[in-house]
This record gives sequence, C-alpha cells and structure tokens, in this order.
Amino acid sequence: MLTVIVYQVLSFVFSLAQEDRHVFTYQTDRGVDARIYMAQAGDSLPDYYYCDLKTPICLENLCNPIEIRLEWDLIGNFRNYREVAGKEITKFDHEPFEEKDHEQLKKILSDRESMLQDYLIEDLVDTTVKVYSAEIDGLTAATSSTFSDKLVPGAIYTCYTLWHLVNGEIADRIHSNTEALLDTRLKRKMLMSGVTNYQDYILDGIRPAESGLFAPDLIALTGSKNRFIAIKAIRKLPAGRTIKPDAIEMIKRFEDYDFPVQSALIQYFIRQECDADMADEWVKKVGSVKEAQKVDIYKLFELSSGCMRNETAGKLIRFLENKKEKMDGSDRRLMVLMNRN
Amino acid sequence: MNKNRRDFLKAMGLSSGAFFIDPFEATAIPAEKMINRPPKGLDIYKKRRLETDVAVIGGGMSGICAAIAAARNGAKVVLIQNRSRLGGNASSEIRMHISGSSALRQVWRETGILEEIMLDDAVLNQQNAYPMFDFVMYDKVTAEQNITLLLDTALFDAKATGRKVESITAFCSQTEEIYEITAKHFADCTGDGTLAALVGAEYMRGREAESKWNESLAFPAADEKGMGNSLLFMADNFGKPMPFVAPKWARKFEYEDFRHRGVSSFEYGYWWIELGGEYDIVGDGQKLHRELLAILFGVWDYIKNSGNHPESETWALTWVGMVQGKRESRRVVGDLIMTQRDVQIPQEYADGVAYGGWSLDDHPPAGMDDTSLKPARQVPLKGPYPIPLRSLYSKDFDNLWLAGRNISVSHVALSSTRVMATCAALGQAVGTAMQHAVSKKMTAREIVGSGPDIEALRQTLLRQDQSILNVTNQDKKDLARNATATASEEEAGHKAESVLDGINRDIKDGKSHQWRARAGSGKEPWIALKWKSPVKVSQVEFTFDTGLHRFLRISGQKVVMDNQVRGVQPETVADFKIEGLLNGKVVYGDFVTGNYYRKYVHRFDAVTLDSLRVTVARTHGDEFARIFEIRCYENHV
Repeated sequence: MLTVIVYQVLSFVFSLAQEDRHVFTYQTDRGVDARIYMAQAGDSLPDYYYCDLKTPICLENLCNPIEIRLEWDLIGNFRNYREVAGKEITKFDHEPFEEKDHEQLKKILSDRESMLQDYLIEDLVDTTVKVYSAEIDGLTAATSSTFSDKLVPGAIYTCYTLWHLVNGEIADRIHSNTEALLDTRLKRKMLMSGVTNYQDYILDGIRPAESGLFAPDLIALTGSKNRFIAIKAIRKLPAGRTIKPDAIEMIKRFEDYDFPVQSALIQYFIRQECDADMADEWVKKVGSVKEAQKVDIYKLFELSSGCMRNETAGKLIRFLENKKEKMDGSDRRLMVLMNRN
Repeated sequence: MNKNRRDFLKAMGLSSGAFFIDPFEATAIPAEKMINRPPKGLDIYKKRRLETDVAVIGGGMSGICAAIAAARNGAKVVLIQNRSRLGGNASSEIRMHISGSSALRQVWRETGILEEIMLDDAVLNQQNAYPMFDFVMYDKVTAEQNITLLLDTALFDAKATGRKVESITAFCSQTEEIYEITAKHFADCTGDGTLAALVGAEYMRGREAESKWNESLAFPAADEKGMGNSLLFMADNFGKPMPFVAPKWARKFEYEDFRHRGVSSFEYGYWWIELGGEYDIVGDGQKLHRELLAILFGVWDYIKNSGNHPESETWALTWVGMVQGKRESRRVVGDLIMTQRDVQIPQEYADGVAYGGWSLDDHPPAGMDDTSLKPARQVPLKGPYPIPLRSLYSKDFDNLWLAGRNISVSHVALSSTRVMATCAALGQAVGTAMQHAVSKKMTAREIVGSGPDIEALRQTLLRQDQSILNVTNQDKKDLARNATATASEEEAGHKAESVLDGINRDIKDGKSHQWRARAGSGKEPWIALKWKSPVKVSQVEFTFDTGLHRFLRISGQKVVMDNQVRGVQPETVADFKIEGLLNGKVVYGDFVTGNYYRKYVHRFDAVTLDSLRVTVARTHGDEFARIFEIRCYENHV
C-alpha cells in the first residue's frame, strides 16, 4: 500500500519534471529562431536536447524548406533526427529519401570532423551548372569519390545546412549548458549510460580527489566491454586500501577481463600499498597470467613480499617449484626473493 | 684548360656540367712548403670553384626533378645533395612512399620525370628493395650529361647582392673540399628553405591565424607550431619466435596510446611515429632525433612485448630509419602565397605549372606526445588543383627558385602541397622555368609577367609530360597538329583523331583523349598521320597509357603495394613499327621494342614524308593498343 502511494507521489513529481525545458534560442543565419529544449528522463535528470525546425535549405529557395526535429545528446553530439509526417526530406528532384540516404545523412551529421565545415556551400555544388542534376545535385561527374562519398547524392544543400545547424554554435551551447548542470548524480548517470562519448567525457574530468566519490562507478566500469573505457576507469581508481573488498573482487575476476584490461589492472596493483590479502588473491591467479604479463606480475609479487603472509609466499614458491625444468631465470629469481622473507 | 687538367676533372666526375674557373686556385701548395708548414684548420679543405647556369640545392624528389628538367632543356646544372644518396624523404634512408594525386583515386597519378622514375623503378626493381630505388634515381641523374652531381655536399653559406643570389658555398667532409658555386639561377630544394634563409629572403614558420587568409582549417591565433617529423622502420616475419629487448631509453606505451593509431600490420610503419611540431624542427633536430628513436623503439616494444599483439612474436625489425622525415619547416614567401582555398577550389591560374591532389592533411603538433588526439585530419578534395609559378620563387630575389615543401604556401595549404609526388612536379616546373630564364636572360618575375613566356613555358612543360592542368597542345612546331589521323580500326569513343586533340591523358571530362584499337591474337592495328603536303620530320613523340588510375610507387607497406603492378604496366604499347611514307612509298622505317615509358621520344635523321604510320605489334598485356598523343618535329630537341 505504502509502495503504491510513494509511486503515485513520485509519478506526480516525474510528470512535472518531464516537462521539457526551453534552454536557449539560437537564431540561424537564415533568420530562423531555433528553440532548443532539454528533455529530461524519468529520474528528472537531463536526457537529451532537441529543436523543431522549419528552415529553407537552398541558396535560392530552389528546393522545399525542411521541417524536422533535430536531437543532440547531452554533450552536443548529433543524436538523431525525426521527420515530420507529410514533410519528409526530399532530394532536389523531390524524390523521397531512401533508407540508405537517411543512414548516410545521419552518419554525416554524427561526424564532427566532417569536411562540410571546411567548404563553402558554393564550392560544394557547381554553381556554373544551372540545371541541378538528379544524380548528384550539381557536383560535376569529375568529382573524386573520396569527396562525393562524404555527401548524400542529390541532397548536398540538406547535408550542408543540417550539418552546420547540428554541429555549429548550438552544439557548443548545449555542451556548456550540460556542463553547468553537471552534478554527481548526472555524472554517475552518464558514466553508467553505456555511451562511450559520455564515459570518456566524464572520466576525463574526474580529478584524483573525486576518485573516492566515484569509486563504485569506476569499479563497475572496469568491466566495460569497451577496453579503452575499462582501462581509463582503472587509471582513475582510488587507492586500493580504500576499496579493498572491491579490489579483491577485481583480482578474483581477473580471468573475466580482456588481456589489455588485465595488464592495466596488474599495473594498478603494482602502484598500491602492500596488502597481505590482495597478495594472497594474486598468488591464486599466478597460473592464469600470460607470459607477456609475467614481468609485471612478478614485480607485483616482489613489491608485495614485504607484507605477504608466509603461507602465501609458500604457495607461490610451490607454484614455481612445480614448473621444474620449465623454470626460467625470472622464476628462480622470484623464488630467491620469496625465500628471503 | 689544358687537356690533362680536363682529363683529371673527368676522372673526378666533375667535368660535364660545370665550367671550372680554376678549381685548384687555392690548393696549389708546393710540396716543400707542406713539409715545412703543414696546412691547418680550414686550409686542409681544398677550395673548388664551379660556375654553372643552374645550381640546385638539395637532392630530394624536388631537386632531382628540377635538375633533370633544367639539364634536359639545355642548362648546365650543379646538383648538390647533403646525403650520400638521392631521394630525400623517398630514399632508402627515410623510406616514405611518394604520395600525391593518386589519393584522389581517379586518374591523376603524376606524370613527367617522376612517372619516368616510377616506371623505371617498377621495372628494374621488382624486388622492391629500397637501396635499389636509390640507384634508379642515381642512374636517372647521372645519365644527364649536363648535370654535375655532388653528393655528401652540404650548403653552408651563400652570397647575394641586391636582388641577385651570386654564389653558394658548400662542403664535402668525405673529400675535404669546399665548393664555391656561382650560378645564374638557384633552386632551393633543401626542404628547409636553407638557401633562402641564408640570403635573407622572407620566409614563414609556424601556423598562421585563421583570420590572416580566412582559412577555416587554421587556428584562432598564430603560433610557432607545425607538423612534426617521422622515423620509419621495416620488419619481417621470420617464422620463429624473435625476441626483442628495447633499449633502456625507449619510451613506454600503453594500450590506450593506440586508440587512434592502428598497428594492424608490422612490416612497415608508422607515419604517426611523429614528433616535433612543438619543437624548432631545424634547431632542435638533434634532441628530436633521439626522442623519435625512443618513440620508435617504444612502439615496437609495445608491439612485441605488451602481449596485445601476440601475432608479432615471429616478427623482427630489419631496418630502422636514422634520418628524420620532415613535413614542415620554412616556407619562403613568393609573389603569391597559396592558401586553403587554392587547394580546395582549383583556381584558373595563367601561370599554373604543376598540380597537387593530396587532401588537406594537417597533423597536430604534439604527435606522439599526446596520443589522445587523432594523428591527422584529412579534408578530401574534389580534384587536383593548379600550383602557380608565382609560389615557386622568392619575392625578394630575381633568381631564387623554390620546389618542395619550402614553397610559398600557408601552413594549411602546405598540409596538401608537401607530399613528394607534388614536390617532384614542382621540381620539374622550376627546372624547366630556370632553363627558360637562363636562355631568355629573364628573372622569375619577368617570366610570370610575360604572357608569351609563361605560355611557352607551359607548352614546354606539357610537351615534356609535366603534371599540369588546363593546358592543351598549342605547340606551333608540332607538325602533327597540321595532320589528320586515321586508323586501321578504332574502339567506339576512342577515335584516331584523339592523338591530335592536344590532351595527353584522361582528364575526367567524359572524353577519351586516346586512340584505342583491339590488339594481340595476331592483330596489329595501325594509326596514320597524313599531311596535305610533305613535311620534314626527325623526331616523333608518343604518349602511351601507363594506367594513371593506379598507384605506382615503392613502399614498405604491403597494402600500398598490393594494388600496384610492379614491372611493365599492362596498358603500355611495348613493340611498334614506325614508318614514314612519301607518295605511298616507305621512306623511313624503324621498329621499337620493349618500351614501357609513358612518354617515348623517337629521333632519326630528318626525312621528308607526307604520312606517318605507327603499327602496334605488342602491348604489355592489354587487349587494346592505346596511344594518347603523337607529336612530330622537324628538329631534335
């Protein structure tokens, strides 16, 4: 019963929070006011931005104006667009966009490094050709494919106008808007969103003093499928003693990590204070460590020898002894070091 | 000069090109004096004076092509190169592949002297050995009687009076010689613009602000940064474990350092082993060299020992570059500074003498010091763009020419013009222009200012197969222009008249520009030029097809070599009969075998004829005989 009441109260709050907030208005170079809204998710945190736009596309109004909803993610990257029913995007010859054209346009709009930012529109279309070709609106046949592959044939004005709208000042202002809203909750949500761009952005901004605050998220991210994110999270982890149970858990799950992540993990533990329990877990893993990681893991054992329990050291020595004739110089050296303590 | 001295000079390999005032002037030390007072200090060096028409400083791709072009057109040339081999960034010392307009993936591979060198290399060096490529270039240069080549010879001083560069001084440590070279014209093909700097010509360094020339690819504020240098390596698969121990001073790299830098193959790499954009590329060179080696070995250590590339276990380094490949240093100011727009939007320059076609390809200055950044951003081009002669000489001098990365371009434009196939084309342009200046006693600026001269220069360049745009054959001396062409057969759209249409290559205008007829399987198609009245001919020039849509350049990188034809190019006419006819009777005949060049010049004693017939007996594999152009001249050139 109580649950139901709480739910109702919450949903009331949600419906208020879900009212999309107008964040700013940007006047395009065509004199069109683009009103940018921020959509919020059920948790009342910012979710994405959007703008309903009706704007001319061509220089000489040769083609239909476009009506479209543009969406950005929280850091100003293109997210998606939605066509308005009955006002679908067309090419110059008023042929509707095919699925592959939409895919290509979305790919172009997502490319913040697109060449479109470095060309003038009059340089993209051959304005000496007065009759627009249905093939590739005005681009001459001689255009190299390395160039034309970066456009939607027959819709260069659309590509150009939308790219500049999506990736111009609006994107920067969206980014700034989110930056001003960034608090721990939003950062956490973005870290755990599964969106690489968000994860990179938030991880890059985490200062050493904040590593404790985000420890649970960082630990979770070490298991990310994206190795770069997993490694970046490892490099941000707080001191091992402050997250000891999780640290031990990470060692226990050592085999679950991809090889480069494993290597980053070993490097992390090399930098940590000596800890008998962690050393014990590592010795249990000595058999799963690959040849290329041997130098690092032996270094870790060497550094851990000062605090290692006798039984742990004994375990390690027995492992080394069992190598028998396969024992090499580094194994022998480690054995001497283990026996020294 | 007496005969003995001449023989002595010949033996030194210094006789052909330059005229010696007195090479022994400062060295004639009597033997008894040497016993009493041995020379000391710089007196140890023998002083040699050379006087020549054209001095080319730098033996990279620009310098080689400049020297050959000037020499072939009749100028006496001294070419000095500070290394023991030719080719600069392309040589076996650096091993960067020669990039250019092939990147457009159309038909724009550079032609001219570079194409000749590339074809020779493809045929003579099918083993793709870099040291052999050095000798292809060496052979090309030394084959020119007008060139005096001085290897291991470094420029260190220059004299200028007013707007005229008078002489340069260079030395060769191997032979303990100091050369003072006086020339009518000088080409700065040093890459670093060293000669221009020595004589006080204005030059640019760093990156210009966006506002300066309205370049979207420039940065808001000007700075002293630029693109860095690279060191390359080569490696082989030995089929057995090959351990690698990095030197202690090698840098350490981690998995995330390669997020934007692929190590998908191990045999050659990597252009992104780059550093120095934040250094003084010239002045900090020694430190930079050490750092780049530390990076190169660090990258290889990562590949071999991180465990992230277990497939590298059987691979080992076979060559490590010890000479840095430079991308950017000084850019000398000419009468025109090319900017971003010149590269993006082909301008109709009346003084266009070469073309470029590499993308706008700027690299962040930090290079491997900041691996979180992508190592380059390439802005593609629609097509090739002309490069004007006004960007190929110093505005401050009447006789100081430029070819290579030190030409008059903005930092942004350089990101495209810097590649070596473009540099080679610039070399040919400048070499040809210098000879024109020598023979007409003109300055660089005067040529540009004179319509007839610039047009004559462009016609010469076109005739000599230069990579050039927007120019068609208007050569009044070409007798073929008054002829009509017929053929035994022609493929649709590839008519016989195409060989006379003034265009010697596919220019993507939707037309063929080549005669094409089925050949092979016993078929020997012919094409004939006919004149209304007899003409006297002693030289016939052909332009054949060498597959300019393909890449053709030596590289250590497998993927670059994969789509090339190493050896003769299949489209090229190999064996053909040339016959001169007068009133239906054969008055001249010859049979050429084994041609693999694009431009082939056939010379003979002058013959009066009213018809010239060329019968294609064999191609290098293509089912069609293909000829782009035939020219006929009364005199040898």
